[in-house]
Amino acid sequence: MTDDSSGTRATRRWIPGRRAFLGGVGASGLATAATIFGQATPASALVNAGCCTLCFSPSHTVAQCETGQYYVWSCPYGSQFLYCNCCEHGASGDNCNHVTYSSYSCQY
Amino acid sequence: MVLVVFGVALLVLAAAMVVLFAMMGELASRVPGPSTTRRDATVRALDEAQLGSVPSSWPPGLEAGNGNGNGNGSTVLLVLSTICATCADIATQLTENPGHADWGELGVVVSTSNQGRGNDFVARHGLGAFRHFVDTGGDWVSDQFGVRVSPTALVFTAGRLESAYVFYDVAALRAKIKKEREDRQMQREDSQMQKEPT
Repeated sequence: MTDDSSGTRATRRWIPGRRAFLGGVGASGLATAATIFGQATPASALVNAGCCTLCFSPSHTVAQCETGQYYVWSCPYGSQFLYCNCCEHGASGDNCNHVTYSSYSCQY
Repeated sequence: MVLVVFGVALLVLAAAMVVLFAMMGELASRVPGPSTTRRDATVRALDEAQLGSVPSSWPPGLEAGNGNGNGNGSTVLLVLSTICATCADIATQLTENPGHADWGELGVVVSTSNQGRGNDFVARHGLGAFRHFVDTGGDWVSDQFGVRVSPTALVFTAGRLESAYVFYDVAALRAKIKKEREDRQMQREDSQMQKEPT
């Protein structure tokens, strides 16, 4: 009885070490494979604010944004009657290249 | 000598197998399990939509859905925006989680600040498999229907905007549209029965 319990304790002490070792081997292998064969996806610099996905962190008011060339769109946010206005100023070029700043505001 | 070479090769092979299985185990531990995300099944009417509108023109890519191309004259346009965070999830629902490729009357309008960003959105989410139109500035959908909100669904019958909804779950939206159509059909049948002489 005593031997069985001590044997069990010995087994329990050993398994985590083996798992950690194999995990380390696997992680090292994956890291090596990722380095050799992996291709990084383009970095995404988009910013989430409310229900908006913006090119930049909001820095102006929506009223300021809605001057000149801009793109403004709304989305429902969380609660049923809360809406956010998402705005990007100077959105004439491809992607975020020509966006000068972003803004948003939410209201019921 | 040959035996030693074979022995070393076998040892290397065994070590490689161990590393391979360890990598598979590590990879499996990093892959998340089946998605258990519970989406908000709320589908509510979009008050600002100009119901009854008949668009003066249909943009390229959506012509087949103008009420003449799919047999029963019905179509559903999902209005997504590149600036709307929820819209990425809606696009994912359409293509892979769970996927709605069987929704024949579906068309997708991608409202965006510029064509490049809209094209990226379509490509990234695999929306090219659906009839779609990149609406720069959201001009077409806002001019024709007064809609500047996403994600929304515009339901057409015979080319006329019959109803508009804000939604989060595509499956819930489909169920809502189906029920609404069944209710309308029953109403029509009831009114016809009342008109018929007894």
